[in-house]
Amino acid sequence: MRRARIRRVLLEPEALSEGMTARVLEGLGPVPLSLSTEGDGPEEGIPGSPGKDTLHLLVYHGDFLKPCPGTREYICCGYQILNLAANCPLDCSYCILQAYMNRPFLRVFTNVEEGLERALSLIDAEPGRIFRVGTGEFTDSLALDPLTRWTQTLLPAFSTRKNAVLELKTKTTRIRGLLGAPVRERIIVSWSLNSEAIAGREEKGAPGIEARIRAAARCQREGYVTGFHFDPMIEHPGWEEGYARTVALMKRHLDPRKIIWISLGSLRFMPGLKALLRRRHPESRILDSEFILGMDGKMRYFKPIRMDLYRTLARLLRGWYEDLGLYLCMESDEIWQDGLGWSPGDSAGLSGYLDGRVRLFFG
Amino acid sequence: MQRDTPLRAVALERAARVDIDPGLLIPETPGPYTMSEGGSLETLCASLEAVGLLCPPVLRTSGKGPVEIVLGYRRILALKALGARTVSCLQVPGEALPPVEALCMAFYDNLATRSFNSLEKGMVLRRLCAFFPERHVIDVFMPRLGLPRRPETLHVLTACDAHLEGPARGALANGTLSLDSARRLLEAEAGERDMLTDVILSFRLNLNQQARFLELLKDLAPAEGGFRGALDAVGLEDLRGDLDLNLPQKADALLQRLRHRRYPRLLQAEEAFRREVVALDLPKGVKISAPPFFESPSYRMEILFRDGRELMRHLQTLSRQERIGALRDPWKPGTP
Repeated sequence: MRRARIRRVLLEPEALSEGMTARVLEGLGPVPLSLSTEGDGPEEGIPGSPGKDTLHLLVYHGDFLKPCPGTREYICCGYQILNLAANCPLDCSYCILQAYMNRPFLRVFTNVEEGLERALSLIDAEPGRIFRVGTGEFTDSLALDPLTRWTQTLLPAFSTRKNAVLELKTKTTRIRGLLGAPVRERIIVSWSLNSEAIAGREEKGAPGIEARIRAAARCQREGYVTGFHFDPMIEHPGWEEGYARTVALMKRHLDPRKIIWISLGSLRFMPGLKALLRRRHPESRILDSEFILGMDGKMRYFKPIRMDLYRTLARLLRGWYEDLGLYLCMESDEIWQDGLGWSPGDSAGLSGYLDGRVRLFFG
Repeated sequence: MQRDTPLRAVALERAARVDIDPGLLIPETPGPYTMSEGGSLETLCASLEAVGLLCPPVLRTSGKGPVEIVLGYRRILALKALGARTVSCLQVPGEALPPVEALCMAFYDNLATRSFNSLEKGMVLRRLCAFFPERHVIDVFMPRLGLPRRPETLHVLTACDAHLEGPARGALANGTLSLDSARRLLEAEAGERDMLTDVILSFRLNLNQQARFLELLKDLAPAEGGFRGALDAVGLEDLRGDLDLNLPQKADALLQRLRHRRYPRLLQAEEAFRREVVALDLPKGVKISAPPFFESPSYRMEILFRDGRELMRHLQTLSRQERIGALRDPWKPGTP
């Protein structure tokens, strides 16, 4: 995997005294550093040029733990996002962050210990509820871990909670921090998977599929529960074969009994992303297929295409192992029925199903 | 009161009256203060013929360079078109009228007497950007042109003036090409731009059709080997030569063919569903429709009726229609 090349650091004065700041600067070595103010970002940023070679260290004043916004029109999983950073050193053509982020640069929040404390107090306040928490919504959970050492901070904190799990979602193979951690309990390490063709062409900077699966296998051997996310599935020439090859690699390397869940989701994006994508990734072919405006205002594949994608992948995965905790991300009851042969009915039903998987794996 | 530029009416105090051959004043490309492009001279010619030249154009000498037209470019053009041998002008020495003041003079003179077309707005803004910071142009001059204070709008308009050529330039000036279409055309290579403009103009696509045409083509181009490939794939030349269709029908057909190419499965489903509904032979006043893009799981039936008896009749007719029970998503097996 290509290392993220950080060419400069912007440091907010408020972040100077944070332990995270010292850790990151020590890990980076000699890189030009300048002090920033909160206002630096938007003015310097050019829309669609997210400045991935600039690391912005700053104190985050918002809520660290937030429910995934989801959508009312489709069935959502009730996930909680632990917000540690924004933007990602990888450069996937389809990345929604290109359209969502109104501030440029890789932004790492330095007050993570304080934020984590607040998040945990919210979790502890509801002992009867299961919190499925992830850090991989607004950034890759592990891509910056060699610098930020999030794993050192987060894993011990979550491993002692009986009503929460922490899911670290990644496309990388940066698992050294995980392997060195003293705990495994209530931690899920998840990989985003695709066909090798999509990984090679559309996921710039990310390792190939086999490397990801080998990293997952290593984590399994080291005692971690794993998850996988085929999201976004992309219709492309030879997609059936492409996804079948990925499943074959999973079969070869992974123990299916150590997989808590596998989500399936197809490419969807806010309409505004299209122009950005064309400008930033002119070689991308992901817009070639038939997209319609979904009920949530996002562009998504025409329904029978999505059904076909899910049916095919579900068949491949179930042909390997029946109990993989398959679920769909942001789809309707109708598509659940057609694609997976059952439906949780609504978002509460899906939450209940995934909470059940958590209990099954972690008690 | 804050001013955009120092008010220096003194410039005209040093003006001398000169009579010049209009043919000598019209450069091959518009001069640095010209803010007119496109638009008919017909009304202006009629005025000049009726009452003569009321306001003399203002010229500026610039060292050894050619005399520049500051005000009155269109008047000079019209007089030339009318065959006038000389035009009576006010000529100001360059040192009495610095370029930035000449530009502001031209801007406010035009602004007070007429509206600008989109191309002219781009021309004006590009010239202003040479003398003023971009932020100042956005905050001060754009509102005066009736434009939003948005950098994106400034960039599109100035790019139109800088890069649009030939028929596209003329079409933007006369309003047959929308600014949005011009923006989309600018994203194409120069050669392709001419070809796309030719299609837009020859099929007389309205502004809404232009947007759909360019969006569909842009979606199709990567898979079809470019815009030309996409247009060939839908039989553009055959359509052009089709004697059975008039121009509006050809425009509709072109867009429909592009849509079929872009959304083959969606359109196939729409057509299959439409055929199925037609075959139901529904009573008059009863309509069955699919949700937009078939995305929602529910179809809709509307029944228009004047009274309960008519509603009962409709319901009885519908209940006898066995074929209704076979209605299904058009992509599912068993759909005709």
